[in-house]
Amino acid sequence: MRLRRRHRPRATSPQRGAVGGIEMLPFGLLIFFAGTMLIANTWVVIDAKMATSSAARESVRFLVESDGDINGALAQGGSAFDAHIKSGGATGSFDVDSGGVINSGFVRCARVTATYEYTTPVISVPFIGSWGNGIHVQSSHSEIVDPYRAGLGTASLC
Amino acid sequence: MLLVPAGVLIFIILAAITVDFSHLYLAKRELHSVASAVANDAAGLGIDATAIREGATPTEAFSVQQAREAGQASFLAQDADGTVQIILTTRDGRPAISVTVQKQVRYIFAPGVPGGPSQHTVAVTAYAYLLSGP
Repeated sequence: MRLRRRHRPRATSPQRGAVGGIEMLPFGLLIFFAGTMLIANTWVVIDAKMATSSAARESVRFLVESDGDINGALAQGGSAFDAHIKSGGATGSFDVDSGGVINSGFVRCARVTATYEYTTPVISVPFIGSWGNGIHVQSSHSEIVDPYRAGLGTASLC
Repeated sequence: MLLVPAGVLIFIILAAITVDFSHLYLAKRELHSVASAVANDAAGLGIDATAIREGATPTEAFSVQQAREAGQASFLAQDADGTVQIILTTRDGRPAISVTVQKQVRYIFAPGVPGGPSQHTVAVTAYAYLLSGP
């Protein structure tokens, strides 16, 4: 009597060693890189805005109580900016508006406005550096020169 | 394997929430800076210097109307939008000017989520005391 061999289907393509869904790994990495870059760039803008607004405020506060030392006020603003962004790079400017009434400019009640600007880098990698010019950030702050302060002579806009 | 992009997505969503709240905090911080500048200017210009030199107290020499006008001018000079309210009040038993600045702040990432909030109202109050002395 002859025994018949039972027919068994042959495995034409063995799947040993294959990992299902491996194609999701590059997709996940793509989301990771794109998302991280988006969040990091947004954060850089927020950080820069905090730094410029601090610089503008501190420099104006210094100037309205000083004797018109604009260089000192710029240094104050620069220090406030560097406290947030150590690499520096902000540019500051002042506008002292005495309404055209008094030519000397810096008098009591004159309005002092400071503007600080900074351009964020596109890519910033810790310990390595930053590249490119990204978003331009600007902040300003305005106050009047203290009406009751000493040391400015008799001229006043109050 | 599906957990990898899902996990990364959750990580990015949490980071986006952090950025949105930081943006809100930044707006609050800037508004506080504006409110304190307006309060300082309103207190300074609301007091009649001549009356002070003649011996009046800061409260006696203070004009609410003058302070409001000075405060509004100061608010317009700031690089800010929103509304400002200036009132004369008493705080801790001392006369003070209260300046409240209010503004709508738009979220950055939250509007991208279906049903998520698009903006938040931020209100900040600063005080300037009417005191005499050094």
